[in-house]
Amino acid sequence: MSGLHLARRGFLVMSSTGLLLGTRTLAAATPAAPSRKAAFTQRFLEIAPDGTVTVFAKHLDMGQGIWSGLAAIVAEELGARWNQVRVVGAPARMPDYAHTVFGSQTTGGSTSIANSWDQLRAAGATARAMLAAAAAARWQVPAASVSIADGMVTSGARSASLGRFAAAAARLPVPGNVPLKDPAQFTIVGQRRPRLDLPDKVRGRTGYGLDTNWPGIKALVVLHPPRFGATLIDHDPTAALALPGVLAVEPIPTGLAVIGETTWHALRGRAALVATWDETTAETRSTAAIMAAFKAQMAGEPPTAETRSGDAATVLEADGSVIEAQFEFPYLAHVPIEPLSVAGRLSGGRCVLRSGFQSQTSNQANAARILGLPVEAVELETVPAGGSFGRRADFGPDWFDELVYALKATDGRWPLRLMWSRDDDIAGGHYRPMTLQRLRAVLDEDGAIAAFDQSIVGQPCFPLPAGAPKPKEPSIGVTIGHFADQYACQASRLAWWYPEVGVAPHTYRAISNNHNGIAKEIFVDRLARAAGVDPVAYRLSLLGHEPRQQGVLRLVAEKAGWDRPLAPGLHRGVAVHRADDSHVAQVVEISGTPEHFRIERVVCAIDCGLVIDPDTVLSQAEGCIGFGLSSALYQEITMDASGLVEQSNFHDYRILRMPQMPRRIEVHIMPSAARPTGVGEPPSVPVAAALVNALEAMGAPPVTRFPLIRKGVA
Amino acid sequence: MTGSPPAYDRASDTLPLALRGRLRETCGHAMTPTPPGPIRLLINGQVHDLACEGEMPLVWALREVLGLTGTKFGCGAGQCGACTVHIDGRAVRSCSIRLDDVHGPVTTIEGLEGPVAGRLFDAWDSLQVAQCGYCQPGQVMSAAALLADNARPDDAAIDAAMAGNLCRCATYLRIRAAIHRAATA
Repeated sequence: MSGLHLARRGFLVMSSTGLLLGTRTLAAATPAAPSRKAAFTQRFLEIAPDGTVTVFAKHLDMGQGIWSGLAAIVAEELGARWNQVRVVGAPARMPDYAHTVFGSQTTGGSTSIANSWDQLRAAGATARAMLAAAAAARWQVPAASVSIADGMVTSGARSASLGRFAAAAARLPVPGNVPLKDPAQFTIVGQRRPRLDLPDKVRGRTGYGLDTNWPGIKALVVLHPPRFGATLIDHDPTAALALPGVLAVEPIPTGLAVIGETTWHALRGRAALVATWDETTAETRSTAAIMAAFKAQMAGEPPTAETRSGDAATVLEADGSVIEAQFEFPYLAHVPIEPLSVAGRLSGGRCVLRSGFQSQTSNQANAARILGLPVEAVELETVPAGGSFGRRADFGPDWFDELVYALKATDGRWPLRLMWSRDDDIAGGHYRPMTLQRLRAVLDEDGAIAAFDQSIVGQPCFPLPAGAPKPKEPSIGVTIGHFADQYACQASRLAWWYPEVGVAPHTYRAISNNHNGIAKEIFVDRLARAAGVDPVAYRLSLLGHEPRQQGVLRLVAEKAGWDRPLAPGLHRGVAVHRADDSHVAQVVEISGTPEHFRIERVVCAIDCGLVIDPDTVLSQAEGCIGFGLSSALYQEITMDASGLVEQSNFHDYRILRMPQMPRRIEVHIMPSAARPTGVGEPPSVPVAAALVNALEAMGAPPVTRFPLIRKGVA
Repeated sequence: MTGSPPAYDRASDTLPLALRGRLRETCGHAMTPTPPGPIRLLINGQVHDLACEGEMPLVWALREVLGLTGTKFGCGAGQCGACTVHIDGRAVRSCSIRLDDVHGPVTTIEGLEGPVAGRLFDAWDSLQVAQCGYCQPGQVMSAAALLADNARPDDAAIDAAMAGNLCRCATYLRIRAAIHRAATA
């Protein structure tokens, strides 16, 4: 474990009844304040006189156990008891809580633990040193004789709760470069600990965004145009307003806002609205037509951007034995079970918003802009989200803005709570982009990859701002996880075509890993077959520069008994991938026939660096496998020949149900002292490819598109 | 472990005829609304006289009129089970039953108690079942109804009883393990 890297700025003591550590930084220019040069402070860690320890978490807990992980890190360094640490969502303040990679307050890319690891360890260790110094001064003993563990400060026979010295510690100078605990001494990090938030969630006591019931709150729903990109021409609210419980109908940029006494009244009012839409600039193509256009674009136009390493084209053109594969990945909707929702109130020039925000500073800045208020006048209360999977990140006009527009249109007359119904959500765009992948390779006589070409047509999952010039580099929203980034290729090209599609793209769990990773792992298996080499051995030979991928591949092969023959009737497939600096390998074993198969077992090996809580790794791996199988097996968003989305609820946009979940999932964690990296997304990637590889080993024809099970009609 | 591994049929995965087409809210969108209540309901042992229209689905009365937000809303179409309550001890999707069709005492997650409930909550806690947690009250309600009916269900019985409760975080293996643990405690 590397030594402490203190933040560029040290900690400072902020005003509190106890000890409140924060950091101070000079503000960089922000989109909301381009010429500002003020200093901002951010709260990190507070010890109250009664011993309560509060961690200010800048990341959203959307189910991945982050808040408990962050609390564990602090408790470890501080010497607090596990159950005296509580976590609260940090208020939005840019750049106070700037994510050290994204540069804004946001949660994503399985980066929360890695991002906060150093900062919170340093805060915990610094507070510990200051409390020990305060105790030493009070007790008149050497500082070296003071120890802190289990929330108690001890020197010889004296002991007291660490809260006792909080106020005194606050008057001491803040030490710099405090040494951190040796991981070999960890008693909390690395141990399975009960998550702090779960008992309330199971008992229905936790307030999610949709549960907001401020006094006087009214419900808001929005009528959207039936096709993406259409705009409102005219509407007649008479029938809606005549219904009991309907309070107002207001046009907003994305459609018609309907406000009712309850969500049910608002929905009933919405169903009675008459509206006409201008569809001249709407997307009216079917998804089949859009994919056909992708194919035509790839075949007929030069790429928007490409990167090359060596000269793959010459080898590919010259060699007659090019191995080629093409894959079609559909639009996917995230469908978290908690509908998209946000509550807000506006009065006296101040706006308060409440939701499971994932992009706090962006949401705050957008609200301020819409309302014409300074950013400081918008306060965000971040509560746990009922799942996100990337959906609650903010990329331009989305449901949050609708709530703010409705508050503005009604002058804040009522507090409002917006909900997108399930069919609003499924038909509402902001999807994992539809993507066409073509992969081509030539092998040399040893089976190594002499030349490789990957061609991708698809929207980046980080949408380009309206009016932005065409990119010159392949967008990272399309390329993360691509083949030549992970496997050794003697020469390679990555080409990307940016398509014009009127469907809003969005980040989705594992972002472009969830098509690149799958395409890569199916294709490399076919290369292994062409080379006549075992799929595990073949991958190992191409991963000499990625020892951690080799490590998990070997681990999963060992645990799955890869070197032993399978029982008759069983087939298996393997896949490995690096995402967000974590490394995951999976083996899927199946029985039956290619048309009617059973998943007997999934074996997973994961290297996510130093483990904060092994149970979180296990649960995220299981959940990711279920999530990845849902999309591999069942999910696609399709639009009909007039551009209408065909799916509307969970009967036709399916999630794995309990009877469809593989019964045996075995997860093995690679012991590691490397910096902790994420587990919320990486394990969702390999399972689809491992399943396809098993099916193809069983004799299924080569898979070219997802989902594997297409909707049939009785 | 009882029960065979899940089977996936690529040849044809059919939708029941009744479910084809757009499935919007089962909201009882009556265009000629009936005058509101009073509708008398017994919820968690307490009598409530609701000035609500009879068509309103129970879930909205619970969440937004009575402020009992432990019962969750997820789909409005009886597909996800997040809204599961008990009526006369049976599991019911509260999004799909109108107030004027509710006959019998209603129990929500806030009012779920007794030895079986206690064992379920303990099992959910000790096995750390939940991830985002949003679907879990509905899962527990369905599980409680199952155990009231079948004290020692096998995997197949659990799967059948719980198939109507979706979990996007896919905590299914732990849900099943927790039900077994609560059943045999």
